[in-house]
Amino acid sequence: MSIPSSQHPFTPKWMATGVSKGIAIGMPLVLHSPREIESRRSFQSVPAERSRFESAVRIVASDIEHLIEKTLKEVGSEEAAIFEAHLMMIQDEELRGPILNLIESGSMIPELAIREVFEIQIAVFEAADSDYLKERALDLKDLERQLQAALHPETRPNLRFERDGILVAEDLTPSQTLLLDRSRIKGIITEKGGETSHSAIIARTLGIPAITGVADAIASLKNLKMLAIDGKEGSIFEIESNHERDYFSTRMQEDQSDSKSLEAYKGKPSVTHDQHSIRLMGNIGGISDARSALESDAEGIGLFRTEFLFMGRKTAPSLSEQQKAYSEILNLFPDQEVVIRTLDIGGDKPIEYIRIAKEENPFLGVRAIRYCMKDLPLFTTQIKAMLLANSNGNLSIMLPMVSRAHEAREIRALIDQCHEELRKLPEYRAMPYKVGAMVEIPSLIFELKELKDCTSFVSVGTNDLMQYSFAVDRMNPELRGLYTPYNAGFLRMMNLLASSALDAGLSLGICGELGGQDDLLPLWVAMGFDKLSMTPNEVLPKRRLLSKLTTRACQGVLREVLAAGDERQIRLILDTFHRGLES
Amino acid sequence: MELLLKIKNAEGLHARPAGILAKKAAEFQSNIQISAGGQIKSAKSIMALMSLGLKKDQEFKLIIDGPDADSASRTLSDLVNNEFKA
Repeated sequence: MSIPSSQHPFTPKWMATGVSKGIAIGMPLVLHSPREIESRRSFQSVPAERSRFESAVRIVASDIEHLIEKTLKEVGSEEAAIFEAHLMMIQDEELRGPILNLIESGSMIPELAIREVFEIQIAVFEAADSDYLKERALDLKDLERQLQAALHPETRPNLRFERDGILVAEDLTPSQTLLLDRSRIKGIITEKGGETSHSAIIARTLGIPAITGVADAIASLKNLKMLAIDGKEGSIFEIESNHERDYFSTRMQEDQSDSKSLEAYKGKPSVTHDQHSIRLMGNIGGISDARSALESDAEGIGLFRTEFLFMGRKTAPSLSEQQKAYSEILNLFPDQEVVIRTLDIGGDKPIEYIRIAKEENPFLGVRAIRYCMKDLPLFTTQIKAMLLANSNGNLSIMLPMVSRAHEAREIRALIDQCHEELRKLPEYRAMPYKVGAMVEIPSLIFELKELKDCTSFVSVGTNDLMQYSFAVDRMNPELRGLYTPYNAGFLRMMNLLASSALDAGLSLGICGELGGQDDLLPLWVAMGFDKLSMTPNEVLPKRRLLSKLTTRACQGVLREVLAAGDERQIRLILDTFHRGLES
Repeated sequence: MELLLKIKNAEGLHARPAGILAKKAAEFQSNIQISAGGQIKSAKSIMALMSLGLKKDQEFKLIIDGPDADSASRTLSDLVNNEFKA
C-alpha cells in the first residue's frame, strides 16, 4: 500500500477520509461531546436539586421547541411531529414523577435519579414486542443525554461560535446539525462518520470541506491555534508560519472564487463548444442529496440508490413509506428524468430482514435482482411504490446486476404486470415509465440488441464493471494497482459497449464514479454517451469543462488512447490534453 | 365509566397518536386510565401510552372517573375512532 500523499507543498499532520471537497483555514471550534454522568456530586438540598432538575428540563424543552420551529420551517410538519413527541416525553409525569420522588424522598442527585428512571423506561421499550418501540428507546437515550448535559450548563456543547473556524467534533447528531450556527463554520472535522454521515451531508449541502474518521481529533486538535484542511484529499495541516497561512489563505480564496465562477454555469445548457449536448445528472441516496442535486442544477437524477431506505431497520419499508420517499424525489424534478434503481443488496451488506445464506463470494452471489426475484413480495412492493409515485411520468426504473437480456425481459414483464394490477386502483395515474439496465457485468455488453426489446436505456456502473472485468475486488488495497480505468483493454471495452448500445438504439449513460472524472470526460463525449450521472457537486465543474471541449478534439484523444500501449502512456495523453485546455 | 375501544389507524399507538391522545386526556379533570394486555396505566401520559405498544386492531379500555367523565368519554372515543386526526 502506498503512503497517502498531499498535493500541497507541506506535510499533512493527519490524513483521513475527505467527504466534502474544498479548502478551509481557521481556528479549531471544538464541539465537546456530552461528558460522562457526574455521579459523585454531593447532594445539596431538596429545593436546590429539585430546581437543578427543573431548569434542566426547561433548557432541553426550549432546545426542542427551537428544533420544532426550525423543522416546521425547513422540513415539514410530519418530521416535526417526532420532536413534538419528544417534548411531551420529557415533561411527562411518568418520568418526572419518579425522578422528583427519588430526589425528594431518596436524597438522590438529579444525575442519578434521571439515570435510574430513564434506564427503567428504556428497558421497557427495548423489551417490547415492537420494532417501533425498540427504535424509540434510542430517542429516550438521546433525551437522557440532553438532560444530563443540561444539568451542567457550563459544559453544554456550545453550538454558537464567536469567530469563524473549523468545527472539530466526535460526530454530529441530527439535532446538533440542525442547531449549529452555520454561518461561522468554514469546515468540519469529525472523529466518526463516513460518506453518508450527517456531517458529510451537511458539509456537502453547505459547500464546505469536511473530513471524517480522524481518530482522537478533539484531543489532538483542540490546542492548535490554526489549521487548514483539504476536503478533497482528506488532509489536515497545522499552520505554524505566515508562509503556510498565506499559502492556504490563497488556496481557499482561489477555491471560493472558483466556486463563484461555477455559479455562472447554473441554468446553462450542458454542451461542448461545438454545441454537442450531454445530460449531466445527479447520483443520490436520498432526499437531502436530491436537494443538493437540484441546487447544483443537475438535469435530473441518473441514479437514486434505494438501499438507504432499507438499511438500519428491522423490517422492510412499507409500500406507502416507499411511495412517499420516491414521490418526494420525483416531484423535485417534475420535468426531468429520475432514474430509481431497484434494491441493490447482497451478502456483503447484511440487512436483518433480508435472508441471504452465507456465501463464499457475495459479489458473485445472490445479490440485487437475483435476490429480488426470489423475494417477490419485497420486489413487487418496491416496483408498485415507484409506479404509484410516478405522477409526473418522469420515472425510469433501473435494474442492477443484469447478466443477460433474459433477466431484464422477465423483470420487464413483472413491472408491466404490476402496472396492470395498479390500474384497478382509482388513484393510480398510470403515467408512462421507462425501464433500463445497468451494465456492470461484461457479458451483457454482447446482448444489447436483445436487451433493446425490453428496455430503453443502459447505464454503465463503472465501479462494478471494472471489478468484474479485471476480476479485482475494489476494496482490496493490495490490488489497487489493478483497479484502474487507464487500461487500453478496459477503454476498448467501453468503446465497444458504447457503439453496440448506440447501434441497438439504446440511450446510453454512466452512473459510476468514472462518469464524474475530469480527465475521462473527453473519452465519454467521443464514445457517444448521452447521459452522465455523478455526485451533485461535480455537475457544474463538468458543465464548465464540457464547454471547453470540441467533439473533434475529443475524438482525437480517444483515437490516441485506444491505440496506446500502456497505462503510463494513456495517463500522459489525457494529462497533456487537459493541460492544453487550461492554458 | 369504562369504554371499550379499538385502534384503527395503521401505525398503531405510535409517538404521534399517543401524544395526541395524552394531550387530549390531560385536558379533562377526570382520572383517566387505559387498560390493555393486563396493564393499567395513566392515559394522560405519552410514555405510558407508548409503552403499551398497541397495534392496529388491538382492543383496549379507557376507565374514566370524575366530574367531566361524560364529555371526556365522547371526546376520546371520537379521537380514537377518527384515527387520532384531531
